This record gives sequence, C-alpha cells and structure tokens, in this order.
Amino acid sequence: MGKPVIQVEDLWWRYEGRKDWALKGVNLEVDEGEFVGIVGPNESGKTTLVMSMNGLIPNNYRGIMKGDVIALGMNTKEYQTADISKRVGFVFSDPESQFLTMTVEEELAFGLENLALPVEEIRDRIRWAMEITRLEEDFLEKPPYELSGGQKQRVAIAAVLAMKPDVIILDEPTSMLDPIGKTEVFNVLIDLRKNYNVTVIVVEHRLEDIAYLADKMVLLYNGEILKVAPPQEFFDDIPFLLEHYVYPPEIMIAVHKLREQGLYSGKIPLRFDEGVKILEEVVKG
Amino acid sequence: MSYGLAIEVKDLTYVYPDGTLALKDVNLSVKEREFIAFIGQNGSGKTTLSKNIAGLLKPTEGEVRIFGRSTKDMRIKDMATSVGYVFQNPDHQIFNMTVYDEIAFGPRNLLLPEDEVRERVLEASKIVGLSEEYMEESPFFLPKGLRQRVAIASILALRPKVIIVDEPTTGQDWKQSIEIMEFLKYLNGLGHTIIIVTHEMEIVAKYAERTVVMANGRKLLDGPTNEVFAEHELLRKAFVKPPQPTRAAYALRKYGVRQDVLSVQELVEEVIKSFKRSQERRTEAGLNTESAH
Amino acid sequence: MDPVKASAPKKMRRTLLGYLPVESPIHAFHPIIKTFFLLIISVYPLLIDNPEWNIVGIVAMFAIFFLSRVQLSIIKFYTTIMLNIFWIIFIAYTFFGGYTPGYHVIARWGPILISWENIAWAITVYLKMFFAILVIIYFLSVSRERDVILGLRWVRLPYVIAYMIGLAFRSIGLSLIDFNTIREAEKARALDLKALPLTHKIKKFGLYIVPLVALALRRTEEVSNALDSRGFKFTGLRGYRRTDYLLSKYRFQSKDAAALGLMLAILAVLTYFRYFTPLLTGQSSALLRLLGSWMGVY
Repeated sequence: MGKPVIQVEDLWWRYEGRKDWALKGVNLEVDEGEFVGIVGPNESGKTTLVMSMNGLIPNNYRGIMKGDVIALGMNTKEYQTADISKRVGFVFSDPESQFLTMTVEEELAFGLENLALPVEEIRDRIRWAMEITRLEEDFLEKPPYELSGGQKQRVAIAAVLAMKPDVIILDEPTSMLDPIGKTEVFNVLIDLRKNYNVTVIVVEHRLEDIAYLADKMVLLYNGEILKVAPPQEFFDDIPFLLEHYVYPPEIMIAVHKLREQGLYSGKIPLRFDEGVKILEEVVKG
Repeated sequence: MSYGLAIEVKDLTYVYPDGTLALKDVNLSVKEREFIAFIGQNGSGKTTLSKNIAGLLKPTEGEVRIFGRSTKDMRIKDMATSVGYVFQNPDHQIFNMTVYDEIAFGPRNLLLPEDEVRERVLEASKIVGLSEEYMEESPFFLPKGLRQRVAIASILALRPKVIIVDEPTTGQDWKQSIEIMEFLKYLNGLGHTIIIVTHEMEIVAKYAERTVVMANGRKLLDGPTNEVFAEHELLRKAFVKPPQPTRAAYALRKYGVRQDVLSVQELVEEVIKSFKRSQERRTEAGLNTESAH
Repeated sequence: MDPVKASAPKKMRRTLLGYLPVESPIHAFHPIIKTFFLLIISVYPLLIDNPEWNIVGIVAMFAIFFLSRVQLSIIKFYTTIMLNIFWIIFIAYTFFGGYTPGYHVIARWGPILISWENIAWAITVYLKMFFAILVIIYFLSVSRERDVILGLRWVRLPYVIAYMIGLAFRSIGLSLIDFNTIREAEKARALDLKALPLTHKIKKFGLYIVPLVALALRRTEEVSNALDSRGFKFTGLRGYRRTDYLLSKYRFQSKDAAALGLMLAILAVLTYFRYFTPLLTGQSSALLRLLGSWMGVY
C-alpha cells in the first residue's frame, strides 16, 4: 500500500455541553488508494471521526480536542475546512441536506467555481463526474430535490468527485435511501474502487456490500476503535460483532452457525453468492 | 380467535392534485390486531395508501372504511382517534415547547377536560417509557430516539385502534431498530393494529405477520410474510429483494430446502435437515452397494 | 420518485410558479432578458393612466403568455383572482372614495356619495394594477431561481451576496415542503382548523412556526457544513477570482439586444408621452368619456 493520506493520532473530542468524550484516544492510518469501511452502532462516534478528517471538527464545532489529525500533510487545527475540503471530499448522509443550489448543474459547478478552475475544465469535469455516477444529461436543468433518493445522492457524490479530491469520505451515504437507491450508490462505489485510484472512507450500517469492497474494516464502539482488520479477518469473529451491535449480513451468520456445529471449517464468505455455495456444499453432505 | 374488520379499502384510486396517479384500484381489508408491513419502491404508492387509510388523504375514487365508516364522512377528530399516523421525521410533528404539552396536544384538540388530558398523557408516556423527568423538557433538544418516542406517545394519547408508522427504522442502527420494533410488537399485543411502511426486509421478516407489496400504484402481493417472500419472480419485478435467508433457501431449492424460510435460524435448521437427509441417502446407498457385493 | 403521470408527459421545466415546457420560445433568450422584462415592462403601467392603453398592455401580456406557452391553469387562476380584486377596488373607491367639491354625484345614500370621478378612478387604478400584476406573474411563471441568480451575477454583484439570495430561495422551497408535512401531522393529531373559531385559528397558526423554525435551525448547521466541505469561503478567495461557470454558459446575442432595445424604446416613448403630452392621462380617455356620457355626466 501507498503512503498514509490520513493520520489520526490519539484523537480525543468532546462536544461543548456534553459530559462524555465522543472520541477517546483514536488512532487510525489510512493509506493512499485504500478503501476503508467504518462501522459501529449509532452514537459510537463514527460521524465525529470522519468529520475530524476534513477539519469540520474542530473548525466548525465547539468542543475540546486533544491529539492531531493530519490530512495530506495538513494539520486540521492549522488549516481551514474549506481548504482541506479541496483535497478531502465529504458526502453527507442526507442527500437533501447538502444541496446548496436549485439545479443539478449549479450544484455540480459549485465546488469547481470555488476552485477557480477555467470554464472548459469545469465543463469537462462535470461531464466526467456525471459519467462515473451515471447521471443523465437531462438532470442538469432539474432541481436536485425533484430527483429520486438514489439520484440525489449520486448528484451529491458527483459534486464532490468533480473536485477530484485525493480522499473521498462518505458518511452513511445510503442510510436515507430505498433499496434501489442503495444499489445505485453502491454501484458508483464499486466503480470507484475498480477504476479510479481514489482513497475512499465509508461509514455504513449495511455491511452486505461493504464487506467485499473494503481493504480495511474499522469497528468503532463508544468512542474507541475496537478492531481494525481486513474484511476476512474482521468478519471471522461474528459473535464479537454481534456483541457490539454490529449486525453482519445474515448469510455470514448462517455460515458461522454451521461452522460452530462442525459442519463447515473454512472462511466466512464475504459475498452472498460465496455463502450460498458453502451452504450448498454442506447440504450435499 | 376471530377479530372484527378494522380497515376496508375498496377500489381505491388516488390522483394527486398535480395529476400524478399514485394508486389504481387498490383493494385491501385488515382485521383488528393484525401486524402488517407495506413494502415497495419509492413511488410505488405505499405511503399514499397508508395516508388514505389514516384519512390524511381522501380517495379520488373508491372508498376507505374504518370500522365500517367511510373516511369521506369522518371528521378530522374521528379519524385521528381511529387511525394514528406517525411520520418519519419527528421534527415535523413536534409543535410544543414541552414534552407534556406535546403529548397533551391531541387530547386537548378533542376538547377533553384537563384531568383526563393529564391521565392520557401519563398513560401514553408510561407505555413508551418516558419518565416524569422529561415532561418539562423541550422535545427539540432530546436525542432522535427519544423524539421518536414522544411522537409515538402523542399519537397514543388519542387512543387510536390502528397505528401506522412510516419508516420506523430508517437511519437507526440495528439495536435501535430492534428496540423500536419490539415496542410496536408490544403495542400490537395490547390490541392495536399495526401497519409499518418500510424498506427494511429483515425487519419485515422478523415482525410482520402479513406483507402487502405495492408496485406502480397497484397491490402486487398480499399474504403471510413468508409466502409473499417466496414469490421471487414477482418480487424482482417490484424491485424488492427478500432477506438473505429467503434468497439462500431459494438458491438451494433443488435440495428440498423449505421455501418459506425467513430467519437465519430457520435457514440453518433447514440446511442441517437437508444435510442429514443427504447423509442418510448416502448411508442407504452405501448399505445397498455393500449388500450388492 | 417515478410517478405514473395521468396525462401524457411533456418535457417541462420547473419555474417559480409552476412548470414551463422546454420548447417555450422564451428559452431562446439570455436569462437576463426575463429580469429586464420584469424591471422595464412593470414601469409601463406606472406611466399609463389612460384605461385603453392599459387594456392594450393587458391584451399584449396575454399574447405573450400564450406565445411563451405558459400553462393555461396559471393564467386562469390569476385572472380569476384579478377579477375578484376588481370588485374590492370598485367598492372601495366608489363607496369610500371620499368627496371633493366639483365631483359629479350620481347617487347618495345617507353619508355615502357615489361620484363619477371615484368610479372613473376605480377603473383606472384597477386596469393599471391588472397590467402590472400580469407582468409580475409572467416573470414568475417563466423564471427559475437560477435566472434570478444569473441576473445578480450579470450585474457583477459579489458572488457571496448572489449566493445568499440563492440559499434563501432554497430554504423557502424546503420550508414549503415542510409546511405541508406539518399540516398533515397536525391533522393526524386531531387539530381541525376548519372547526375552530377565527381567534383560535390565528392562535393555532403559531404552531406552524415552532417546527418550521426548529427545522430551519437544524438545516443551518447542515448547510454551513456543506458549504465548507465544498471549498466555499465567505471571505472570498484571496488572490484569485472565483470562476463563473454558470454565466459563461450563456451569450448575450443580437436577438437579446433587440429585445432589450425594443423594451427600452417603448419605455422612452411612454415616458415622453407621459410628461410632454396628455395622451396617457385619464382625461384623454375616450373610453371614460363614453362611459361618463352614458351615465349622464358629460
């Protein structure tokens, strides 16, 4: 793997007016080109952690911070969020809440105008971002809030992607979407993983797709990182995940139970199809 | 056990003011004490259907009857006390400065005497597990989970027999989802008819006895949840993906695995059963070949 | 959402007031023309008192509505409202217009005097207003927020200001959606506004404000995060100019110049008529003269 692009060093954060620390001594390193999945129950600090990676924390929130976060060599305490964001893109979970304009085209151009790019470059980048996120030409003239959930979130991703950040962070990008929308967004992530060398950090509840996409899985619980491992190792201990309120895909649980019964002895499957094959082998006897 | 009819939807067609045809000839009847899930893609009509049942929308054609009365003839007060509707975003349904006033809002709209209002507030907050200490707090500053409880309590204070909850688990983690669903199950046990509108198939599989699948404004499937999820071909058309155990059972159908599987536990049991059958067959086959020698 | 449309779907573009077909000829012009249309043409009725001339303006506006393919429902809706307003103005001026010595009194009931001058004035004011309101409605039915913002950028307003106005539009749009949901949620809680006496109604109306403000507060945080995360700075970009991609997409062509020239020319002519001739005054109106002689005033 490449050099580290995000370094979180013994990070503590407490929101103003709260008694408890939201993050308690978190250490994490994300390397160039890595695809990282962050999981954990609500209120465990996932959003706080990713917001600290582009400077939203500590710059836009009040609270007490200890430790450092270095994003592409920039210490988040010393740089403004707007400057870090030019290289560390951030997609929020509610697609509606991040729209700033009244047409898709304005939305896609917004960040690029802030980068002060030449007009031709903006045009090319908008086209490029729309291609990856599979947005149709028609959408450009539409108000973003008239689109479906999946389309909205793809517009949000395209708007960030067009800025060509080195790192793109997605905070529960599918949690507000219906199943079709979720699939649409994951198809974009799969494409990013396969064809573009961008570092991706995703917070997700639904592990079905993240399990086979990620290079590295992170379990955050009660403000602390309990486990960092490649997916194969991460999902190997199913009871540990369940104990910490992380619900793995049910096919994994099924295989795990068969393994407990001594009917199977191999690895936990990361994909549904692999799981079905394992069950098939067991059934055949 | 037989219960009376709670909801009757007859040839319901609904067209929004902008001309969008959202429901076409929907028929549905729901008995008291049922626990039903409405599923389908966005735009399939499931929310429009549930709002018609709650009387928030009135049929363009056809009718909706609640305990025998057409929603067209019912006043807002009659509707609110028969069918309660909990909106997805708690922020849309909080109008008062304290939790107490919030829960009392409905009963006060019924013009009940203040001591009965108080009784209902206390009853409703007890059911949702909101302790007295919250009563004077502002509902806006409570965490989302508690705000949702306040929203449900304020519906319960109207004592509706039917409760519809729109997307109860969206944005919640697994633990919170289980908590809220267990709570709805408890209300169901108290005698309420529960309808949930949702995208989460694991939740449907675990809690709903009956599932209605909507597609393009029409009712596509309606029946016991395990039977509905076994209709793989039809569900694919409605872009509904059954939960993983059901899909796995479908993939293993040629091995005689039961097709109405919903939970991991059922799937594992079925796989083990089939495994044992294969073992027996093999032993028999083994015995046969041995005896042939 | 993928709603099933009852009518054949035509490619429409949302505007501030409704929808406009994509093939509307107005789209052939630079978006700034719409803003100029509002700014220049709405001055015309201010210069004209003469009812005939205002009727010509009104007829011309209807022609422009049809040429631009504005939905008939919008025209019908506002025309109906305007006709209702006519009665309000008519009654207000005729019955309560007051009396100045020299007025031609037509009828008198106790303290109420009906004079020809007041009736003439009611007609004059109403037609002026009708013309002006048609201009505004036209603007709202062909323009989008984007056109307004383009207009502001075109006159080189600092982008931060243009941008804030854009955000205001967006939050109004969101609040309208919220407002509908809140109304439904109140119905679900047995609030029956129709059944309440007016004083209660007004009191209960405050209830809408509470959730709307709460939602707006939550959104403020979201929006400021989103702004920062896309490299936006209120302080401006030190050392280099922000690109204006949006404006670069449109070119001010000769037909735009022609349209603008025509609007300004008419404005100049009207201004001349107004201040150097009696043509646009009420006294010069043949229509009022006819009406007056019919009522036996002249």
